[in-house]
Amino acid sequence: MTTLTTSAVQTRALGAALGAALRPGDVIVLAGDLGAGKTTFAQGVAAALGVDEPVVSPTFTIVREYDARIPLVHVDVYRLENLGELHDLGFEELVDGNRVTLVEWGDVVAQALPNERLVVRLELGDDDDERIVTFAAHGPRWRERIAAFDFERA
Amino acid sequence: MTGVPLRVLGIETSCDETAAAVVDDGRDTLSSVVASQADLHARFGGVVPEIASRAHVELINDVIAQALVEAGVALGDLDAIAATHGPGLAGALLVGVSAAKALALVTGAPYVGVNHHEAHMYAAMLDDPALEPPMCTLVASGGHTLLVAMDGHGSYRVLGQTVDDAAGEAFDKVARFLGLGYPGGPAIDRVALEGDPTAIPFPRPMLADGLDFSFSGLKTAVVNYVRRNPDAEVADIAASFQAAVVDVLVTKLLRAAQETGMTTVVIGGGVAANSALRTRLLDEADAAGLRVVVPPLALCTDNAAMIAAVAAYRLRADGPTPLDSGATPNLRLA
Repeated sequence: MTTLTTSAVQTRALGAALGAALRPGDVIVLAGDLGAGKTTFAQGVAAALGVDEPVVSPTFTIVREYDARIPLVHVDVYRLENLGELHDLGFEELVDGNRVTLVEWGDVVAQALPNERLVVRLELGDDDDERIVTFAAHGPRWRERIAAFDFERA
Repeated sequence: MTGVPLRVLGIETSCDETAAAVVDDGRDTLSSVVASQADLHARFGGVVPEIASRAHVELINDVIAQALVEAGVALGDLDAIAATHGPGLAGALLVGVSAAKALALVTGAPYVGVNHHEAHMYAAMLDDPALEPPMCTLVASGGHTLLVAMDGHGSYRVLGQTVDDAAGEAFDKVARFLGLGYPGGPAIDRVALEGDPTAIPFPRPMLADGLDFSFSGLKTAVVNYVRRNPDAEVADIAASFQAAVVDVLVTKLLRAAQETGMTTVVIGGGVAANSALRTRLLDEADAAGLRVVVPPLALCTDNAAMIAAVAAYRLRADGPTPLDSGATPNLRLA
């Protein structure tokens, strides 16, 4: 499932559309190169979950937690090199049934992630402001949900 | 400061520096020892939390012992033991907090937990012992970009902060993208000396828009520029990127001074070590008739003297921090 956004505002809106469809316990992986719009997309997701404070890059602290209608854990594994470090961070405890977990650069640590997850990949388009956004469902439940997701309304 | 002088041991382990220092009464530095893990992190392109925690554990006792020896002070001579208790990396913070609490228990001296941002503002007072609030402060580092009005000791108003990436994070990520290595700030500063800061008109995000900062779009602009111009001179890209960051930081700090009516401006944090920022701020603040304090490099980057400095004020104003309090990775200033 692939869609195109033509501005940061649209990328954020697409994140918000996904965010509105999320449920506690969901795990979303954000993949893509530097400057692809991962944090922008995450800001949209967070707004839809009811986070009312600035969602800033979690690169420095690795993990940022936000209280909201559905609480959000925002993880950035950009600086991690192996699965052992993820374990040392207590990652297993961060993913729980009460909140949504967003993992930036999460494709690097795919093995450590729950089988049921949605991978959102952001890539630079031809135009500087274009982003190609691909949704890839992992696990039967996510495959069903993403098939029902209305991208036209996003 | 009034009252009996306080001799404080400060400990700092919030990120990749293991540091200890002894400071008298918040102003007089007797010793300041900093062991950096930058070499360990260089090959990873950034601070790796687990490496940071382990290295802090290995270094902390030696760093504290050296700070005491250089100050010519025994543990029993200390009036307080202070450590950064946030913000920072959870595991790294706990090393310094635990060491400080253990020493407080052993010596009977009070423990003081210190906010790292507040400490960066006090670094300027170690450089200029006559400096007193009110003052407008910019704290810019790998994890934070904050504009703060310091109305008095312990009295802060956050005027602006980043809405996405920190200034130092932008330096680190752009340096990594350009293949210049880690830490990104010094790497870009060095390469930029050979480049033309006007070569590429990178955007100045949110320049005209209030006192908040945004650096994510600037990072993306660098990525896009390199994609379109693969043969561009790295030195020109670095110099032009740096000029954009400096432009935004200086403009907003001076605007903050103007809006608050404060006549003293101060910078702190690792990004304050950037040579272009220092030069530009000194020139412009001078032209605007503002008093400007740009601390020496060793006081801008993470150190423990600034931790000990704040602790003297905090202990007098608020008393000791309970020994059962922990570390707070996302601790706020105000």
